[in-house]
Amino acid sequence: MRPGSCPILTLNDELLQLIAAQLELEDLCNLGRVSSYLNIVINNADDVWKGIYSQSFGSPPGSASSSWREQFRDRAAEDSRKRKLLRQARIMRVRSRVHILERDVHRCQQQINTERCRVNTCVAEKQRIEQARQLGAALQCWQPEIVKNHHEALFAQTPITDEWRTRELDMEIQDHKLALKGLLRSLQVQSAQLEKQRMRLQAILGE
Amino acid sequence: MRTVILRSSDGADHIVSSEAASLSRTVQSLLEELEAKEGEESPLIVPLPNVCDCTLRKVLQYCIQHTEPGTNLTGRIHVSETRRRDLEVWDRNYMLVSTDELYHLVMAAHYLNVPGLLELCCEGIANLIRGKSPQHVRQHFGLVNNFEKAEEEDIRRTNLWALVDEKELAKK
Repeated sequence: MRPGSCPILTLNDELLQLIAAQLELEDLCNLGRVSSYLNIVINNADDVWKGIYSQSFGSPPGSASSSWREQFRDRAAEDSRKRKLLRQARIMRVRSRVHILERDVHRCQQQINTERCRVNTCVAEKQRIEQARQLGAALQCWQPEIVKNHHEALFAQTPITDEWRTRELDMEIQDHKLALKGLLRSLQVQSAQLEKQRMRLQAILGE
Repeated sequence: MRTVILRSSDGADHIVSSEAASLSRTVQSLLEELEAKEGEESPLIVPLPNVCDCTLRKVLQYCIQHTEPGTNLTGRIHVSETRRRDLEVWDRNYMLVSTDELYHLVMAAHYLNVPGLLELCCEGIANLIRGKSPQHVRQHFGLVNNFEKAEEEDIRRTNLWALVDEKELAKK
């Protein structure tokens, strides 16, 4: 190309508008920013804007009081506002969902800890009873005096328990373990949901 | 089939079928005038003072290709699917020209009024513009930025409604 020559500028309005008609909105706007002449040509190319309007919003309204460009601008601004509001509403919805899930997960973890404590208490009590039973049996046999005294002292501390208490404890442990299992499962489910919602939030914010 | 002679601005003659030449509506109406004046038998010479030899040759390539048998000329002839695809490929290859050639071609297509070629050229130019920033377009076409600073900012702002939406918002 010859230096300083600008063939596209020497084309007449009609040809420039034919070219503009082939462009998408973004390229059209960019072309309008190239030079003041092109800006005027493109702003006046109402047929092109009519095409853009119907491409973006479907069939245009019948009669027009203002130019197609102005109509397009107004409609696009309105749509953009609507989209922004919708987006904010969506973000808020997902955020609140994340909060609820976070609370649920936290509560679930607390319950799991309580259940674990209960299981440990029951197991400890069972061990104590078992120990006492063994001590009782040991007292029946001969032991060195000093050991026997120690065992007797221990035996006196432990409340006298029945066989049914042990069974009761076994059942309790079983119940707690079952509850624990259920809680762990729901924790897993809730955590997965939480992760999913967080990803969704990220995706919306990243758009 | 009749042949006609198209004479370019630099005096070179091109002999083509009247069918191919008639793809240009300008030539077609000139031919009709000539036929009425000179009669059917005399050789038909059409002077085209606005088109140089090199560009005319390129335009005629298009006209000949698009009047080959099986081409949809006036809508009477059924165009087969393969023929249509072949023509599309041919058109794409035909458009592989420099910006300067393209510019002369679009001027010629406009003057000679060859609708198909004109559309093809406009598409070709649009393709050169597509995806380029204003600065990039200026560089490519050797234009200068003749906006005032304030004016440019104003245009950028009023353009914002079209482009801002999702893209720019996401950046914030």
